[in-house]
Amino acid sequence: MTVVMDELLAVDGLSVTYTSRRDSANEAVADTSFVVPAGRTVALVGESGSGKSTTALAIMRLLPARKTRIQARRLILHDDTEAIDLLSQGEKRLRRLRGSTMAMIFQQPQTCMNPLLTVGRQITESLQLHSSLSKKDASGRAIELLEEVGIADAGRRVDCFPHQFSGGMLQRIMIAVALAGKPKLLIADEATSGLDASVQRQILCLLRDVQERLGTAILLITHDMGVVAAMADYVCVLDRGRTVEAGDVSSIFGSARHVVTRRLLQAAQRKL
Amino acid sequence: MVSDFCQNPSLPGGPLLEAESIRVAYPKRVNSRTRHGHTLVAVRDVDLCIGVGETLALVGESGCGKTSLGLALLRLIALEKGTVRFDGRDITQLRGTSLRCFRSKMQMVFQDSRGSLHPLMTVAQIIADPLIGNAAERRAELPRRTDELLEQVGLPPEFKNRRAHELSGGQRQRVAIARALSLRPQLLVCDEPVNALDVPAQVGIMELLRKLKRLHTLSYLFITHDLELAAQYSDRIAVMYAGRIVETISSVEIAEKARHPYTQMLWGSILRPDPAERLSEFTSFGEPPALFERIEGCPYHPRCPLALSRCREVEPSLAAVGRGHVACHCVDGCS
Amino acid sequence: MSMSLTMKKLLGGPHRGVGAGLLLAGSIMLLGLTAPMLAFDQPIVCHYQGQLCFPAMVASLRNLPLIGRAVPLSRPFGLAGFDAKGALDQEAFAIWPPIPFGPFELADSPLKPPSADHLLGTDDRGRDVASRIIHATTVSARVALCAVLLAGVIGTSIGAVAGYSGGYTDLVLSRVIEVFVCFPTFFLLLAVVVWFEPCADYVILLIGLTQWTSIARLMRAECVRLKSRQFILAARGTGISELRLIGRHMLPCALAPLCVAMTFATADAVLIEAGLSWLGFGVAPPQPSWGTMLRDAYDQMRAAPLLLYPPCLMILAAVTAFHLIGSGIRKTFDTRTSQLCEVRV
Repeated sequence: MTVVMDELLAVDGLSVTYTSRRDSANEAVADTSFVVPAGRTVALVGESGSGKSTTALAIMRLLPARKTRIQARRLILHDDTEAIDLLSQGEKRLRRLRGSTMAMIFQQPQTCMNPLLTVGRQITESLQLHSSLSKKDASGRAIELLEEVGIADAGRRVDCFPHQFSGGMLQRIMIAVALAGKPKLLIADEATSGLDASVQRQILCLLRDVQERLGTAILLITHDMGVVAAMADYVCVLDRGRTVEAGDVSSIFGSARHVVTRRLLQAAQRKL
Repeated sequence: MVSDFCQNPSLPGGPLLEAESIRVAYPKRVNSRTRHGHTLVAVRDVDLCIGVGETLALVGESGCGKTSLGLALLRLIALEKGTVRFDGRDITQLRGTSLRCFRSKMQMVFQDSRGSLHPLMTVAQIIADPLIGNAAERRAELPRRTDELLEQVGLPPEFKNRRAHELSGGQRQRVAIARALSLRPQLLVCDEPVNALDVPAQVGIMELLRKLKRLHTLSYLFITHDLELAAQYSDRIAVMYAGRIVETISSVEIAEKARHPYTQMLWGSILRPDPAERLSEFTSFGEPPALFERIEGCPYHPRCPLALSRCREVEPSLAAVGRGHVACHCVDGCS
Repeated sequence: MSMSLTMKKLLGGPHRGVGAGLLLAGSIMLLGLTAPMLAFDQPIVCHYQGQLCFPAMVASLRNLPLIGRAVPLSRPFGLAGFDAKGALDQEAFAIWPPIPFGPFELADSPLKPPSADHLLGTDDRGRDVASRIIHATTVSARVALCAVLLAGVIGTSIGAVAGYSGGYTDLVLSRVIEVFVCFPTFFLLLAVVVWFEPCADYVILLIGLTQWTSIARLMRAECVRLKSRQFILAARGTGISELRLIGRHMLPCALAPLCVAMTFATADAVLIEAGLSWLGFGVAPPQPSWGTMLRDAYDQMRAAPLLLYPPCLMILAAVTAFHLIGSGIRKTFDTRTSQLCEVRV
């Protein structure tokens, strides 16, 4: 991978083992290494089952501790002042990091939101967790955030429940929740797959916009080379839990060496 | 209108399925705040025709009613009005046993491969079930037929004893296809068959469908939201918006000759795997409309960059333009 | 294969109560099935009039449900009023059951305390309590199981029809279920029983005909839930018949909750039978059942309080066993809990 000046996240030799599974193929991530520079977009690409999502969950330390074993030579997240070794952090510190320094959005926003709370409540909850805003300020900020992610009539929509929004709208709201803590790293796990092309494009535009305004680095997890081409600065290709190819986006598209990369590219181009 | 469709030069084999002014409505919800007093009309007076051996793609954003239309054509949900003719025979009035017997002629492949396969049955049981249930094959023949079907969809015979949760998404979809093929149907309705799969698996399934079409002289109704995929794997594309068909067009013409602004928007929003096409400026396409809201005039006008005052008042009807049909006031030759 | 897997999942899972419950319920069943081999006033094997006879074994076989009636009587042992103890010579070859007293046999003087001869003493008429409690198990277990089976068949079919058809059929059937739920079952039973001679078969019929509602509601809910699932829609799309759709596709998915409901219903049936018999409207005396024995013991409570223990403990054991099994199955197959157990990424 290209040498980068100010790295935000460094993953080196990450492996994740599911200890509860009896079969031999229990190593979901075997040897993954990549670096996310501050304010840039890195795409983690691979076929399903290649360990992309597990890698993301391992970075967020969201994998169940009793059933998985995470090992890495280096798993460092740089905060403003210090380099945090994510592997050695306690749950309390991790909770503070999640949402404030790193945040994640998932594939199915419908399942990630509490159906019984208004979207405004869910945003303010996230806001109040990471700052000392008063309830009133927080709800004002929630409306601002909804406006920022392009939801029209945010003042009224803030009191709506998740089922009153379409999938694309909900994904925007998820982004708003994720942005509440002004994270330095935003992990988007297949955040746009399954959405309509027009909606997908708008969500990606929104992410790009957020990145430019807030300087957030994005770790984009996808199997769609179209999304990669549209968004990424750097690409890391995974196959069965190993980094098999990495480089900046033009070199990956221009001269892919590994067979998995070629297969993904061919599949994407064959559709055209 | 239907005859107009069916005289379409791109249907050399004659029509297999003709649908006329199909309307599908879901009962109104009284208690919900926003939906109060409105019937949800998912499909509004749609005419559709699928030729023998043709692959027709039905394209539209989620919530536009394309799945409802597919289910209605198969008589799996109730039609509010309209007629469906299959091979010249009106199937709208079929009931009970005659409807059940008829089902073998048209089969469906669902989007959610995990949800559409019985969680407790083995692959062999899933594939053989329609054969047993319709007494289509003698019991002794079942294992042979199951093996044959598995082979056709590219699965090794040892998958017979697995269950749905032990398969990958692509493999599950292959099992679903094998089940659909078991009764030797003439028409296969594929509802987003590859939506949940990663791109290489998508290509695998689409190539399989293409191969099976040649093998069995099948016709497909291919429902998808991915216009790019539709253009690649279909003969003709029907674009659906807010429960209506707004354009039909031959898939080879879609890139250059798409006339409806909605089709153009869909085509333009495709992300191509080319770093030169990196997203730069913010583009807004608007959101798909909620079906329970009544829209005056052209349903697309709130999102349309070309909308005229006429578009807000009069709903355009589908008219033949070139080799396809368009419903748009801004297209010459359209009402 | 899947059956053994299911058993392994049940027994090896985190809910060990199932094992204990199955063991307890199994012992009770075994006790009921082999009652005459354990306690009878006729020998297991004997030499009588130049022939080898198996009176207790034959009596055991005749206790089996359904096929029992087909087993011929062991003559002359099975005949009413035949006194085996008097008829057999002291020297003749005979192996007696461990408790050599029949449930109706007047074995000793009344209300004797437990002793080596009579392990649990004798009741107010001098019958051996140990023998009676073993034979009562046969009657009570048969009543409970048959009643639940009947309730299960009625409940499953009505629930499936209501849930699958929907519309007016569902509306009508649901109201019928509600009417049955609203009836105070016990008083209905009392009212009906008054018109008939108390007898075990009527009790089965009555419990079965009133206790099906919870099973029907459960089955209806399962069918409504399953009906909207895509694999059911997919199966419907293949043109198979409704009967096959319900039986082959929907029922297997509803089996785990049905099992849970049936085990709990069995526990309820045990209690209802005991209650009815206690009131004298259930199993007719002198036939022993847990309820009738409880009644007899209750009448003698001051004279022989120990008599209360055997029937109480048996009822307690049976109800506990079925509750353990039921909650164990529920916990093992509850999708919500089992999803939490799995790592999902």
